[in-house]
Amino acid sequence: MLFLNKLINRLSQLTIDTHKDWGGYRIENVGAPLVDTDVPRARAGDILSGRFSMARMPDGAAGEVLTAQGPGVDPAYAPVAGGYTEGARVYRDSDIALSAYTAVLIGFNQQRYDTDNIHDPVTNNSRLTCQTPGKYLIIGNVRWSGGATGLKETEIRLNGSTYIAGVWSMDETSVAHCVTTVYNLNAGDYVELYVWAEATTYIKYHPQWSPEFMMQRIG
Amino acid sequence: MLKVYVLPVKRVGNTDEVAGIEYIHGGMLTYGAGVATLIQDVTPEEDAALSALALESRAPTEEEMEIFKQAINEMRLGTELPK
Repeated sequence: MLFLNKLINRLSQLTIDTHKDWGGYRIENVGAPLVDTDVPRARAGDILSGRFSMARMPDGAAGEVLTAQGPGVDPAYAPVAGGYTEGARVYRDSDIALSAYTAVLIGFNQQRYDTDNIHDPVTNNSRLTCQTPGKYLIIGNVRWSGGATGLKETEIRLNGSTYIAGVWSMDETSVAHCVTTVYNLNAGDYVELYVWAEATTYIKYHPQWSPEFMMQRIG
Repeated sequence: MLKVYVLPVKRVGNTDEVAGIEYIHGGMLTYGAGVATLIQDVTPEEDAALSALALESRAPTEEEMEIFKQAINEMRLGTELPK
């Protein structure tokens, strides 16, 4: 078989006679990129082959995905939209005794996860503090048990004072409260979980969900 | 009078209970790590008892007074409902 090579620095352009019968020939490029004029018009039954050199795309950062940029524009790596990772879920590993008519701010001494330095288990451990601005789903779970009946309240407060979500129940000794909201938080904003009861009672520890407090970025 | 007390928290079984709980009512209590901070409008008798138990007792700061007022005023939403 006859090989026709286009070599770098020897031929700037290879012109192929498209009127010639190239059947049985191998057209091979070993260096410079092929251009349209390098490739003859092939006919049925012709054998053509080539080796193309292509520039490698720049690497994207870990976790990025290749994203179309629109017609005529090269695709580019970009962060995945959504799928936010900022969040924390914390709990307290004990029951808590409550006095009547006393608002109790629950401190959380244990963490299930914390991906953005949202919680400190020792200092101000009642707080989930926003480090990355965004829209957050905030959830508090508590189980009340023991003590007396009467009004019981569970609230989420923003920055120590602003009430942003609450749930309450009456005339039950044992009850579970799940309080939840979605809220736009700025860096430095913090949320806390308050409980309040009309009579002496307890917040009971459950190893999976009480008392438990969490927030997760969703937007 | 409104005062702040930093009180020890004892763990009995698996229950955290603040020292002097029998003197606590109508206050605001923050359970921290091994201690709890109480802000409460106390009588002289309650002040004497809580001060004897407290690791620290003092007058509240302006910020603490505001937090106390917010906590007490707003933590009664359920009372607006008909029983």
